[in-house]
Amino acid sequence: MYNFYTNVICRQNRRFSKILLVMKLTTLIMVLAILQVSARSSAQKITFSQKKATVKQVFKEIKKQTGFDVFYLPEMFKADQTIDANFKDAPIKEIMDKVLIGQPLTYTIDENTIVINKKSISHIPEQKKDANSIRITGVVTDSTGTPLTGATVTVVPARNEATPASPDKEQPKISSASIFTDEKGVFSIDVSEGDMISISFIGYQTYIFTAKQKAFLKITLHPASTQLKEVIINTGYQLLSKERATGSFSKPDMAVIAKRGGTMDLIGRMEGLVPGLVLTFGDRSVSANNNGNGVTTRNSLIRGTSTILTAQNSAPLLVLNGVIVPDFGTLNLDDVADITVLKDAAALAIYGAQSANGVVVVTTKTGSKQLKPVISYSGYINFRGKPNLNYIPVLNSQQYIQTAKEIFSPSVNPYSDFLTNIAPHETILYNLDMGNISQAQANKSLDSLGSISNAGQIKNLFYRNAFTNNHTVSASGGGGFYSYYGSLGYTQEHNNSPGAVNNTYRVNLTQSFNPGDRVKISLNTSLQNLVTSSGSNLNVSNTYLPYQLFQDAKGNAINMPFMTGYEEGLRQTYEQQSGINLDYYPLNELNYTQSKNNLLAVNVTANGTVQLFKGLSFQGTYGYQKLPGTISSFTDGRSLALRKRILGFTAPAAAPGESPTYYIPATGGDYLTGNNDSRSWTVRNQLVYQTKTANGRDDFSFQLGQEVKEFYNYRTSNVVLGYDQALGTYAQIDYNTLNTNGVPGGSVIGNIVSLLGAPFNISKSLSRFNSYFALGSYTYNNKFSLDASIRQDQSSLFGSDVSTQSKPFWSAGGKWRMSNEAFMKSITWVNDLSLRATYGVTGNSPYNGAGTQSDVISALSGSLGQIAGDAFVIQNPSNRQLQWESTSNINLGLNFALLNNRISGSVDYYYRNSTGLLGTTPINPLTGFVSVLGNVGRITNKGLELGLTTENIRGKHFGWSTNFTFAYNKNKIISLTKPNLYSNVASYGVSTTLVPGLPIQSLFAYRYAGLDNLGDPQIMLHDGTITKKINAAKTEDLKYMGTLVPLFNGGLSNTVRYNRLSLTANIVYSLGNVMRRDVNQFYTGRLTNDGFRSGNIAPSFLDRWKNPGDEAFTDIPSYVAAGKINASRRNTAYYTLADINVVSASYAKLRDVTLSYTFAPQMLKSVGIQSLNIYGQATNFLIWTANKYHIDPEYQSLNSGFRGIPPFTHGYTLGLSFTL
Amino acid sequence: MGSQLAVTTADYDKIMNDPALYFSISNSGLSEAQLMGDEVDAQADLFNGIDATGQREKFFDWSEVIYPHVTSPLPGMLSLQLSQRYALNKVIKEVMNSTEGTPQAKSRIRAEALATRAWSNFQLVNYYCKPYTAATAGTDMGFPLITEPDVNTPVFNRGTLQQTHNAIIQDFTDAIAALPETPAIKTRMSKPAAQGLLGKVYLFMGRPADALPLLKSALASITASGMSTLYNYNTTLAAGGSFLPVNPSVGPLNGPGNNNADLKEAVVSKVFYSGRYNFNVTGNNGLILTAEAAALYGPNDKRLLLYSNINTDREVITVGGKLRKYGVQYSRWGLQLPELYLLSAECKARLNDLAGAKTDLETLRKNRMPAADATVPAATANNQPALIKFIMDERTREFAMEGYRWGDMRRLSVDPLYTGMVFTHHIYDAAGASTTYTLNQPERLVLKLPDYIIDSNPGMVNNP
Repeated sequence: MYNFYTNVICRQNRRFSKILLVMKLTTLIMVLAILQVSARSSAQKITFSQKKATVKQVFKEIKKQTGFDVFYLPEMFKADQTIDANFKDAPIKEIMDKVLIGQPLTYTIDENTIVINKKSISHIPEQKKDANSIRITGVVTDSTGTPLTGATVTVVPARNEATPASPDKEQPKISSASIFTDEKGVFSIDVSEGDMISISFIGYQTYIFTAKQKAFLKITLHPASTQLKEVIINTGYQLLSKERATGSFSKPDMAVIAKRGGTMDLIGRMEGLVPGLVLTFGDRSVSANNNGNGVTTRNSLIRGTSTILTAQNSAPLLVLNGVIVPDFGTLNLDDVADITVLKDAAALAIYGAQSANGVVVVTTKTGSKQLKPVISYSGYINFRGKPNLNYIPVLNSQQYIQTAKEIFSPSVNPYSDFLTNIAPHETILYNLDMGNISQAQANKSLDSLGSISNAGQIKNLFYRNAFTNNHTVSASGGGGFYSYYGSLGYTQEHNNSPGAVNNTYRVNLTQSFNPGDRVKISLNTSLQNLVTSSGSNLNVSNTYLPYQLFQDAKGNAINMPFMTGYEEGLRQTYEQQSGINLDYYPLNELNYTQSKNNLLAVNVTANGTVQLFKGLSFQGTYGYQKLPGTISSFTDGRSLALRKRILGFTAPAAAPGESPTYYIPATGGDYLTGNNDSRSWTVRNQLVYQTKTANGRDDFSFQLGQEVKEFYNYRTSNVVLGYDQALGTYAQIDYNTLNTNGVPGGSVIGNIVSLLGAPFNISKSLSRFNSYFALGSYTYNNKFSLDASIRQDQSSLFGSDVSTQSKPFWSAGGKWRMSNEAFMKSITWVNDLSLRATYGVTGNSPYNGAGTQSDVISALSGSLGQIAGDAFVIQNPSNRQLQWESTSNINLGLNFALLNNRISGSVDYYYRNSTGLLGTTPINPLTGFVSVLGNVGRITNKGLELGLTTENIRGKHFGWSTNFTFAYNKNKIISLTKPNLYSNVASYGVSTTLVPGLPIQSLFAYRYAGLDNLGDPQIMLHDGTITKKINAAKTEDLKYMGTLVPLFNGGLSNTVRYNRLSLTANIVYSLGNVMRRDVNQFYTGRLTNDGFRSGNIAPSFLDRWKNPGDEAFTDIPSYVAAGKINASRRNTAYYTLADINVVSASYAKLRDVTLSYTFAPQMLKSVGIQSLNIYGQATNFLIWTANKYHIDPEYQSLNSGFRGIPPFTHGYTLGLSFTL
Repeated sequence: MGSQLAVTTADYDKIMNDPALYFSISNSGLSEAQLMGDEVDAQADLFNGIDATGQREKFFDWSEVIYPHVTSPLPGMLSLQLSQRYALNKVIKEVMNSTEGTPQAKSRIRAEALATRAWSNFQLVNYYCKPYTAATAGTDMGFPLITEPDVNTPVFNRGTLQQTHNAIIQDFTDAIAALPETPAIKTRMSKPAAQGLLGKVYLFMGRPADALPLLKSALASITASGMSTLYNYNTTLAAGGSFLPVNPSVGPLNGPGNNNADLKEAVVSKVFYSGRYNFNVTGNNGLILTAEAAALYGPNDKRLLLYSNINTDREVITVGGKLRKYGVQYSRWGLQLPELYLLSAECKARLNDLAGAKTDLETLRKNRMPAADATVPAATANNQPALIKFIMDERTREFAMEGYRWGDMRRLSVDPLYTGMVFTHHIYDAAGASTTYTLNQPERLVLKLPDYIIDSNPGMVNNP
C-alpha cells in the first residue's frame, strides 16, 4: 500500500483514461476541504539529494523517510516534470513548497497523509460545457488507514429544480454512478455538482456527502458496530459528551429497537438492552391508559424498587424532546433518533420530585443540514397468530364428566331454584338423582357429552390471528437556514379479537430555523390519531365448560340458557313474569356490543436558543400536549347483560293478565359516549453560560432556570338507555326514583337491583409544579470533570403543605479520565479509562390525590338510596406526617475501551437509600380506616451493572460483535415504621410482601407437612409441631422463599455479519427470583362454582387424595363436597400456598433472532433506490427455565401462581426499509 | 366528581348527608342481629350455603368464632360504624371553625354529628359489650371511645362499659341542646330523635325513670309538629289501600317495607336492606318465624299481611311458624315512631303507669289492626308484669325478623323480671326434621371482636 500513489498513475484503466481525456487537462482539480483538516504539521525532517528528480521520486523518498503518503492526481504533474532536490534535514513543508512552486497547486498535511489539490477555484474560469460535471476522486480507508477494497460509491443524482432533467438524460448518469473502490481503496467518479455521494462498506457507517467541487478526498469510514464516534448524552436539560459526563447513563442499541416489531411500546422494545432497566412481567406487567389515550406501557424498573406504591409509581419518568410525557404512545417509533436512560443522581436530580425512579429521555429525528431531500420508507408486518390456549392445563371433556360424576353430591347441594350455574351434565345428574331418568339414560347422555370437545370451536370462533402492520415514510433535508424532518406513520394492530380494528395514524414534523448566527429555533409538531373499534369480548378460553359447543353442525349458534345463571324453572318463571326472553347464544353476543374510540394527540415542542453575549445564552423550552378523544359504545338490548338488567328493573304484573312494568326500556340499547381531554404544558426558561479557558482544555458551564408544568385531565361520559340506533332516539329514565328507591316493590328477580349508574360523569384533575434549578459543570485539562445540580419543586399536589415540599433535590459528581493522563499514554491498548463518582438526592411524589395532609372530601350524587341530596364523603383522610419520598444515591462507575476499542463498556455500582417511603400502611382500624398512605419506612437498593461491547471478529467479509448487559439488584426493606400488628397471622402474612429485613415483594409459604388421613393438608410450625388447624400458623411459622423481583437480569446480543448478511440474536435473562406454581384450587363445592367460563379445573385434581392411605402417595388434598366442612375442618391454602409449590422463576429467552440483508447498491441503481434493507425476525423462544413444570415465568402471576394465557407463541416479523 | 377540602359550613352540612349514614344494603344495619334473634328459625336448604365462608350459619347457631382471621370480609355493622366515625369526629371537631355559616347552623351540624356518634356507639355496645347492669358496668369492658379524626392514633383501649355509656349519654345530652325540633329531612338528627334515642339508651340501661321524660318530650314534639305519623294498616292494606297491590314475591308493593324513601313513620331514618340476598352473609333467605312468634299475632293483625306462607321456592312452608316476612325488604334501625310509642309504654309500665302504657300501646295497635282487636285485654292491662311482657311481645309483632329482638334478648337476660330465659334456634331440613341450637349464656350474648381489632391494639382484651 505504501506506494500506491504510483499505482494511481500506472493503473489507469481504460475507462479511467477515457474519462480523463474527455476533460481538459487544463481544467484542474478544484479544491475541497478534506475531512478533518489538521493544522498539525510534521516535525519530520528529510534529507534527499538528486538532480532532476521526478515528482514521483521525491514523493517516494518522503514516504520512505517519514512514512507520509502523498495523494495526487496523475494529471497534476507532467510526466517529465523534475526538480533538483537538495534537502538536508528539511521539513516536509519545505520540500512540498519546492515541488509545487509555480504550479496552481496546494497541499494539506493531515496526520500522515499529504494531499495535493488545485489551488483555488476562483481563479480558474470554468468552461461552460463542464460546469455541471465534476470528478470526485478519493481513497477510502478505515480508521487505522487501511484501505477498504470493494467499498460502494453510490451517486444519488441531485434533482435539478430549475430545469428538470428528462429521464433519458438522467438515466446514463445513474448508470455511471455506482462503482467500487479498487484494492487500494481508491475510486474516481464523475458526478454533477450537488449530487449526493454515499460511501458504504459492510460493517461500517455509511458516509454521505454532497459533491461540490472536484476534489481528492480521503474518506475514513468508522465501524458501525463500535461506538467510536462521540456519544452525546441528552439529559433533557443539557447535552453532554460521554467523555465528560459524570453520571450513569445508558443508551440502548437503536438497531435492535428498530427491528422489534412485536410491540409498539418503546419501553417494551428496550428489554435487555440497558443494564439496570428491568421490565416487569406477570401480574405487574403493564399499566394501561394512564392518560385516557388507550396506550399501554410496559411497566419497568430502573435500579430496583424504591417505593412500595403501585407499579405506576415506581416507573421511570418519560421525557420526550425535553418535556415530561405520561407515555410514549404519541410517538412514531420510526422517528426516534436517540434514547438515553438516566440512572443515578447526577443525571436525575434535575428532575426533582419525580426523579427517583430514573428517566428515559427520547429525542426524535431532525433534518440534517446541507442535505438534499432524502425520502425513506420503513415498514414491517409482525405476525403473532392466536393465543396459546393450551398453555393452561385443564381437564378434557371425558375427564371432566368423570370427575363431575365422582364428586356429585345432591345431599350437600340439593336441587333448588337458588342453585346457580347448573350445567347440562349436572342437570343430567340431578335428573338421575331425582329419579326423572334412568341410570342408562344418564350414562348415555353423559358419555355423549364426554366425547365432545369445544377446543376447536373456541379457537376458531373467538380468536383470530394477530398481526401488526407498520409503515413510515419520512423525508428530511434542509440547508443552512432551515432544515426539516417529517414523517407519516401508519400502524394497524390486528389483535386476537374478531372484528376489532385498531389503526394509528401519525404525522410528525421537526423544523429547525437558524435565522442568524445567534438564534436557533426548533419546532417539533406531532399529531397522532388512534381509531379503534371492537365488539363484545366474551373471554372464552380453554377453562370454559369443555364439552359445550357454540355452533351446531349447520353453523347455527347454540343456545345455552343455563348460562344466564338462573335455575331452569326459575328462569322460565322470570321469563313469564317479565316477558323477557332469557335465552343465551354466546356466538350472537359477539355482535351485540360495538365500541369505538377516536383519540387524538397533539404534541408541540419548541426549543429556542439566543446567544446574548460571549458565552451567555438564553434557552427556552416550551411544550404543549393535548389529547382530545371521544369514545362511544353501543350495547344492544338483545345482549344477555342488558336483558338481565332489564329483568332487574321490571316489576311483575300485579295481577294475572296484566302486563309487567318496565322501569327501564325493554328495547334499544345502552349508548355511551365519552370525551376526554387532557392537556399539559411545560415552560422552561434558562440562562446558560459556557466558556473555555485560554488553553482550550478547560470547560466551564453554568445553567440557571425556572420551570412551570401543569397537567390537566378532564373526562366526561354520558350514557343513555333505550337508544335506538336507527332513529337516534332514547328513553327518558327516572334516575332519581330508580337510583334512590329502586323498583317500587322489587323487581321480578326480587333482589335489590343494581344501580343504574349516573347518566353523566365528569372527572377533572389538575396538578402543577413550579421549580427552580441550577446546573454547573467544570472540566479541567480534559481530565477532571465536576457536575453539580440543584432543584427545588413546589407542587399543587392535593393538600400538601408547602413547608414540607420545599426540600431541595441536588447532586454532585466527579470524573477522572485516567487515559488522558501522561502516564497512561504509553499504554496503547487502553483507549479509554475513566472513573466516575456521584452522589445526590432524588424524590418521588405520590400521584395526584393519593396522599394528603388535609382530609380530602369528594362529592357523591345519585347513589343508591341517596334520598337526602348531594353529599360529601371523606375520600382520603389526612395524614399530617406525610412527606415526599426521598432517595439518596451513590454511584461509582468505570468506563473503559481497550484493544483498539474492540472491548468497551462500563461498570457501575450503586447504593440507593430511600427514606420516608410512601406506602399504604395498615393502621389501627378503630381510627375508621384500615389503611392510609403514609411515610412508612426505608428501603435500600444496591447493585452492580455492567454493559460490555466487544468486537470479537473484525473482518472485511466476516464480523462478530457482542453486546452484554448485566444487572444485579439487591433490595431490602430496612424498616417499616408501622409494623402490621394485626397481620401477625399466617393467612395474612402468606400474602403480604413487605417485611423488614427482606426484599420488597418477598414471597412466603407454609412449610408443608403432607396430608393427614382425611386428605387434609398439614403444615409444620416453627416449633416443629405438625398441624392442620385453621389459624394455627403465625407469621413466624411461614417460610421465606425469596423475592418475586429478579436479582440478576440482562441481555446478550450477538451479531454475526457475513458481507451484506447479518444475523442478530438477542437473549434476555432473569435470574434469582421465585414464583408460585399453578396448582389445583378446587377442593370443595360444585364443579361449576366458578361459572362456565372459568369452571374447568387443573388435571392435578385427578391425582388428589381419595382414600385413606393415599396420603403416602399424593400431596394434593382431598375433595370435600360441603363448603362448611371444608372451611371448618381444614385450610387448603396450607397446600396451595405451601413451600413445595414455590419454584424458581429464573429463565432465559431468545427474545428475538433477526436475519437482515442489505442490498448492494449496484443492484438497486436501476430502480433508483439508494439503499435497501430487508429483515426477518422470529421471537419468544424459551430456552431455559429453572422450573420443571413448563412454566414460562413471563406469563405467570408470580405471587398467586396463576398462569396467564400467552397472547401468542412466537412472533414473526418481516421488515423492509429503503431510501430513495 | 371533584375533590376538595371541607371549608364552609355547607361543606360540613353535606358530610352529614353521606348516604352511608342512613342507607346501607350489604352486610350492614342490624342484618347480623337479624340472624341472631330468637324469633326466627331457618330452613336449611334456603338458609345454608349462601355465603362461601359459612358465616350465616355461624351467626345463626351463635358460634363463638364467626369471622375468619382475615380482614375481609369485614364485619358489616362494625365496618360501617367505624368508617363513619372519622367523618363524624371531623365534623364535631371542625365545624365550629368553618366559614360562611351561622353559629346556629354550626351548632346544629355539630349536634347532629354528636347524636349520630352516640347512636353509633349504642349500636356497637349492642354487639360487642355485655348487657348493661349498673352493678358491674364499672368493671365490664366497654367499646373503645373514638373521638378524634386522626389516622395516626396508635392504640385504643376499651375502658369500662360505664364509661362508654357515659359518653353516649353525654353526646346525646350535648346534642339535644342544639338540635332543632324538626329536621330538614328525617335522615338527619332532630331533638325528638335524640331524646327518643337517649330514652331508649336509658331504658336499655334499666333506668326507665330517666328515660320517660325524654320519651314524653319526644312524642309531644312529634305530635305537635306532625313530623312523623303512623300508617293505619286498616286502610292502607284494605282494598284500594295505598300499600297495594300485593306482589307474590315482596308483598304489599307500595308499602314502606318496599320503599326505602318512605320516611313517614321514621323519627330518624336509617335503612338497611334486610330482604333476600344472593351470595351475602346477611339477608332473610330461609328465615321463618318461630311457632312461638307466629302465635303472638292475632288473626286480624294486619301486620300478618307482611308475611307469606309461600317460600321463595314456591313451596308452602310447613315448619316453625310457617311464615316468612316478605313485605319488608328495607328495615329501619334509626328510630321509628312505633318504637317510640313502645318505649314510652314500656317505661310507663315499668314505672307502674299502667294506664299510660296502655294508651301508648293502643295508639300503635289501632293503626295495625281493627280497633276491636287493638284494645289491650284488661287482665293484661292491669297486671304490671303481664303488661310489660305484652309490650315486649308487641315489639316482636312490630319488628320481628328485622334484628330488634337481639337487643331485647340481651337486656332481658339481665332483667330481674325475666331470669332464666333460654334462647333457642331451630333449623329444619327438607324433610321437616329440626336441629336445635341453644345460645350459650352469658358469653354468646356478646360477639367477639374480630381478631384484627384486638391485634391492632396491644393490651386489648377480647370478649370471652
